[in-house]
Amino acid sequence: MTTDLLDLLRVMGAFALVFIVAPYFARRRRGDDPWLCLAECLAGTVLFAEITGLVLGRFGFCLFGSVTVAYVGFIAFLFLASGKGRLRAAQQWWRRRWYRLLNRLERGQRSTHRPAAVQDRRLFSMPLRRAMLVVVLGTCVTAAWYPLANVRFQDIESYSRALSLEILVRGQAWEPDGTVAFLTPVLFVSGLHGDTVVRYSNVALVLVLVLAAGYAVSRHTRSETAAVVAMCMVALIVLGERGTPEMSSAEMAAIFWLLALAFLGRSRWYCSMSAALGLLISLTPDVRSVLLLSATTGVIAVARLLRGVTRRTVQIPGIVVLLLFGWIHSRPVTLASADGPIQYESAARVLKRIVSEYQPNDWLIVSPVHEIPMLYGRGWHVELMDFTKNFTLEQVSRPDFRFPYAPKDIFVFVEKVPLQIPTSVRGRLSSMKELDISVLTYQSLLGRAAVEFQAGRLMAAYAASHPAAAIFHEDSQLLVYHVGQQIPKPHVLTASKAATMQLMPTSR
Amino acid sequence: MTQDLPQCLRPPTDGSPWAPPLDASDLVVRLEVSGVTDAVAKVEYGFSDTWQMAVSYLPALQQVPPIEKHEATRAGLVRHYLRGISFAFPLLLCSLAMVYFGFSLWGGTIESKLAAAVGLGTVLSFISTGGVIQTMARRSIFFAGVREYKMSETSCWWWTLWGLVSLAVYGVALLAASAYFDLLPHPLNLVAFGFHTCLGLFWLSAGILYTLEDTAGIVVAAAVGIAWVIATQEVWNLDLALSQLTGILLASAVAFGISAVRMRWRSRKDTSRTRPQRLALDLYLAWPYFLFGAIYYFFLFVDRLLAWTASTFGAPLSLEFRGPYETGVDIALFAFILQVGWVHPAAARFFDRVQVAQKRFAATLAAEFSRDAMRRYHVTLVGFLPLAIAVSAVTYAAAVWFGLFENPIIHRTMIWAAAGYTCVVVGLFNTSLLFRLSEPIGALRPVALAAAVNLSVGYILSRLISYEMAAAGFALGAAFFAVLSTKQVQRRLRALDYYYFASAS
Repeated sequence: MTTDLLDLLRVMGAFALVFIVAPYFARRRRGDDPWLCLAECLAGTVLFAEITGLVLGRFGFCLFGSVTVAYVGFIAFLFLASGKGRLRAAQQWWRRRWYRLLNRLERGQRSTHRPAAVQDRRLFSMPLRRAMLVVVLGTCVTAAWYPLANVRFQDIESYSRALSLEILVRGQAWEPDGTVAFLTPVLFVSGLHGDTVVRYSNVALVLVLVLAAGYAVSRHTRSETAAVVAMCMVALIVLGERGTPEMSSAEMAAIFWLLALAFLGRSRWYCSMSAALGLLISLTPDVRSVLLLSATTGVIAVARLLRGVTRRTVQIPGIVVLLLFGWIHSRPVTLASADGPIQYESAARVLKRIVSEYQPNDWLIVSPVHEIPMLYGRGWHVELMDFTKNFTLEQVSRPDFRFPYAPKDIFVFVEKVPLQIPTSVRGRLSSMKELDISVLTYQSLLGRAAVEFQAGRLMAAYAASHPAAAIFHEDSQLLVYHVGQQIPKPHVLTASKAATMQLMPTSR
Repeated sequence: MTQDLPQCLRPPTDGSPWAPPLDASDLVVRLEVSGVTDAVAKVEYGFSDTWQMAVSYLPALQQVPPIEKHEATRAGLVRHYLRGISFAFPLLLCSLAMVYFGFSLWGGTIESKLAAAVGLGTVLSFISTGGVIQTMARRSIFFAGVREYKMSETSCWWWTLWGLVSLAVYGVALLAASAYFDLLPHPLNLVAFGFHTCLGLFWLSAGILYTLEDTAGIVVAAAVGIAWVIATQEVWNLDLALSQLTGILLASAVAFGISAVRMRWRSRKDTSRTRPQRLALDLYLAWPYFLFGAIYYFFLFVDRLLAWTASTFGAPLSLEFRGPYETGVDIALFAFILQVGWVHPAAARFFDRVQVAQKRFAATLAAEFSRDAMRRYHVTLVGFLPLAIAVSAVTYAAAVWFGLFENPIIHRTMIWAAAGYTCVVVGLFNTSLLFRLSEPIGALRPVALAAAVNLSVGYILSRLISYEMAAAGFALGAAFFAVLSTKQVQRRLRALDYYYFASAS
């Protein structure tokens, strides 16, 4: 749990640093509206990161160095574009600092001169209503609850995004995906794997969504009460039903549509940029994204209509929505205790344990396709279905039999109780175009049970004749075998490795 | 009152170049520079002022023949050349040990993951101590130049202490980055840390010995370290990494010991007062040298880091030691060692000639003096070409003879690296001139840009084409270093009379 919390802080911190803090301090000018400046920084930086990721990813060049140089260049551009001799001022600032340092070294004294306040006090002295703070904190805790308590994802799209992000940052052939391209700087700054970044960046994105809705409403109505109501409604829509912060691409796009709404009438440039960003992330809206936009615009409309009504009257619906919001937010606890729908929690946890205990790329996992996003780039994977097809009981029962895989540690995941994928998820899977045969096999209970049963028989026969095989993990649903073997040559993993890249469909 | 010829006007007795005064103004300057003011001229020599004194001595002095004996005679050239390549003597010892025993003070036949950790530690040790050693050398040589040997000694130890601080800071940063970005798993991170710290100590101690021009001391220290590694391997069969770390530490201790004895011996007759060291003053005076040292080593090694981190998808570590790349660079390094020896004699000869020329030209002929120096500079540069071509060709032929180019990666790396190192030699020659003219900023800018070009071009090529193309980035960066530093030197040579006087070379 401590590691998970630390990972959450790393991702949230990286997200805040990359998209908000660094661009804000590079760009801010005296007299700027701090909230507007923050919103503009967020929209501008995410758009830049998105385009950079898409362009570099096209050439397999979205790597640490290139992304870092591009991002630092962008921040430098913001700094210089904020204008008015900032460069000269910066030189003077550095000279002053150098002089002060020398002075301190020389005399061992602190300079009596205090530097100009770097913080724009207006940002922090702006009155924040308690209700607004409660909504933000409540959303944060609720959104973080599921990813902190679970390793697996709830949504197939999250698996797809995690894999896509890892493929992108490792310079492999990548199918453009607007939902992950902008996350590359966050991944590099946090220093974590793609699946962890996707898991915890969802929390940040939900927070940004809620704040964007509140900001858009407050910009157009100048009513904090209306803003709180909008924030509650948006949080309710995005978290209430599912209880996890995993958003669809259309919901992510809605963040920037809401920002475009906030900029409307104030900054045409940033309004267009935010709208363009929304389109880059997702071209097609879904029901929930339409609901998010409708709710926000609805609150704006109602608040404008009720402008003449007393304050108390306006607050009543707000309080009702808040109560409703609190009630529905007890759902994530229940959801977190359930298993599936795409992967067993224990399978995800065993995989996490292997990743932390064994050296990278020294091990191989034989399992269904859904483990790939979590191990991509850190270990090798062989599809369970291929495994059952390639070996026979007679083969593996021979004492001299060795699996033709180069890594010395092989882990075979066998489900005692085949996981049943719910109909709703199956429907989403069927609608995806680039489906692999293995995904189709696993979505039917019969197909999955057949593969798992055959794998179980193979491993039982192998374990009976090979004392080196041991049970690595066992619970009521899952059995993980560990096979330790020494086969230095030949390296036969090329085909399997290539196959792993094709297994998971990437969707927009 | 004395009518004797002042010491400053007499031809030197140590054989250094001297020329008769060109006119009375020249003579007045020589007098005043030596402390003979109007008052001294009046009280001690009986003249009304220095002008009258100069006019009085001028006819006699103009009859004295000039002394044009060059410092860089043939024997001197060989001595300078050997001094130029002396930094490679410990490397030579290590290579011999490697040939006979398969291991050395560092390196050897080790597992690739361990090699990556050792490589990272080694590269980082150069970068973390490079700036400190440059500053230490600058300050220490300055004090020795004014015969304040005690201050020179104090300065050396003072900067060694800051070298330790630098090593600690870089070491902690290495461990922190390794933990945060999962670069090297435990215990490889500790191996990298150990090699970084121990080698850093060795470079610091060797830096003091270079300052003292004690090449023999460095060779002795390295030999003791290698002997220790051999003994622990052959007799006690210790773990190689542990044996090397202790060997490097022992070599460092020996080098520090020799340094201490040498410096104490040198300062035994120095009665000058030692003043407390002032970090602010040292930094203010020597920060360009500090930065140059750090950036220069970064420039020299960043291509390796780029090659080691390119295309590591599927590798156990995100840092993979590339044997063929290292072999290619090492072959080119051999050529570099033979070429870089040219820098010392060439710079000495150039300034020797400038010193003579300066005394030949009148103040009104400053432009001609600069043109003469520029011509000599170009002649010196052109004179390097035959040596560069010959050494590169011989090295290449030797590598072909020994069958080292069977792997095409080694061949391509060697070609690029050899071209790059030749340019580095030119850059170092220019740097040497600029340092002597007290113009370190002129050397700092080219090396910083060269490092940036090396990093960016090497990064792009190594990621888009193949990892050995990092050497092409190095070659391009080195070409920038050579060209830009040449331009910097040419700029100074165009107004050499000013820079030469200002630097008091």
